[in-house]
Amino acid sequence: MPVITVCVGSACHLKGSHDIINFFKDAIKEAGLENKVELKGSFCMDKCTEGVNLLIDDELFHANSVDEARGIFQREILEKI
Amino acid sequence: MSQQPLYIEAGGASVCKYGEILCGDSLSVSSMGDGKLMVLSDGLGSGVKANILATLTTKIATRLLERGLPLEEVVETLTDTLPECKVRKIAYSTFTLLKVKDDGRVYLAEFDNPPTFFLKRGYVSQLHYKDKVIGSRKIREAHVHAEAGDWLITVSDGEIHAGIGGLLNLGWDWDKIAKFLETQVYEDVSAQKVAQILVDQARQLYEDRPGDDTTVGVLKIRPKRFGAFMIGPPVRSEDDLEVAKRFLDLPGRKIVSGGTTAGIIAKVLEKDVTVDLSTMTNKIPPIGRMEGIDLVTEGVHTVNHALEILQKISDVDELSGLRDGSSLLAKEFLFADCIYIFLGQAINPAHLNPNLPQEMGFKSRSVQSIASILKSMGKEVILEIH
Repeated sequence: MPVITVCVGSACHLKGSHDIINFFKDAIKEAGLENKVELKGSFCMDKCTEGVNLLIDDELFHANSVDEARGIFQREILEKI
Repeated sequence: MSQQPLYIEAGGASVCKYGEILCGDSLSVSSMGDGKLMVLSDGLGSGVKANILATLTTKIATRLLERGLPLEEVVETLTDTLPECKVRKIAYSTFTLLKVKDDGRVYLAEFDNPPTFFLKRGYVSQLHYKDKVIGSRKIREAHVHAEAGDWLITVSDGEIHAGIGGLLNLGWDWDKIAKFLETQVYEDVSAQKVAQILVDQARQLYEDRPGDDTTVGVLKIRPKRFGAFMIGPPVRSEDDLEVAKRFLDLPGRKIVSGGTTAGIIAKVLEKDVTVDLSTMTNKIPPIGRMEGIDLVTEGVHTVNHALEILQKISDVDELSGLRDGSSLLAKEFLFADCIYIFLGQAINPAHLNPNLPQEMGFKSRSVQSIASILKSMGKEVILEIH
């Protein structure tokens, strides 16, 4: 089961991790993947300067907006499941 | 086994005689190096004159006792200093002095006030008084040893007379108040709450028109609450482990703020930090969970907002039910009597980004403001900067 982990540390919080988490929550629900994708938070990924950091399993991504998060969700989750 | 440190929590409340603006009773609480001193005085008459007499009495007695003067000198000074009432040609006010040391030793002296209630294991217990004559005044003195769970409650006679000639023929009466107290006093209720309940009850018995100034002073003897708060990694990263270990060895509840800081502690404890997304709000990042740590939060935003809360709220009950990181952090600060703060000042490069709002750089300032607010509340605060 793929796991999306979004950083909620100080810098990522300011850059919008709250909205990005809410986007993922809704997107997972809409796609009916509640039992197939897990959404988690994490404090710091030591890449604070690079935007809202998120992991899909062990691979690191950066999303600077909900749109970028949508793109990542499309490519990494929807197209691979 | 060494004895558990005690804390003496104080509370007080009063209500004026009906129609008066000033209260003719005065209650003063002060912290001495090794305990608390409470003085209650009821001035002759009511209104301004009574208020001046009572306030002078508590102020003079407090100042002299703080300096360690014996009771005889305190009483003589009061007799010589208090202004004489033109009508009655006497200088008069009552007093109760309660000195409770951190080791539980209690000294009590009363002059013309109702006897103090001493509750042990939930029951009112008899104090053994000795009379002492100083000048023309007969004073009752008592020594007793208090333990965690004991209470000392002192009242002005307005409390004892509540309802007299109205709802209750002879007033509320000392024995009835003693029975009432036994139903109100338990571990989780604060000293302030008990004082408020007693005054409210008297006001009701007076049918909202108190016939006398009514004042209650409460001392609750309980175990001292310790808290340890770590935020920010040390400037020298080679100090990380040593600082973390010292933090973990501190007594009481452990609170960790900041992702990097939580990571250092997790490494020492060999535990994982998980994030509880259900506690996220649009303003405050969610809290974390780690075995062995009582509260884990994000750093700068949570702390800045906790400071805003502490600037507005000093009663922990106002935060009950709130689950966000800042409210939980403020609750921990309000709960503790003694707080160690480890403030690490390593700079997170992400926080230097000129595009970020300025408050990102305010972490140290916010922590120092929190420390001074807590100090002004009478808490012991030890701030270490690393």
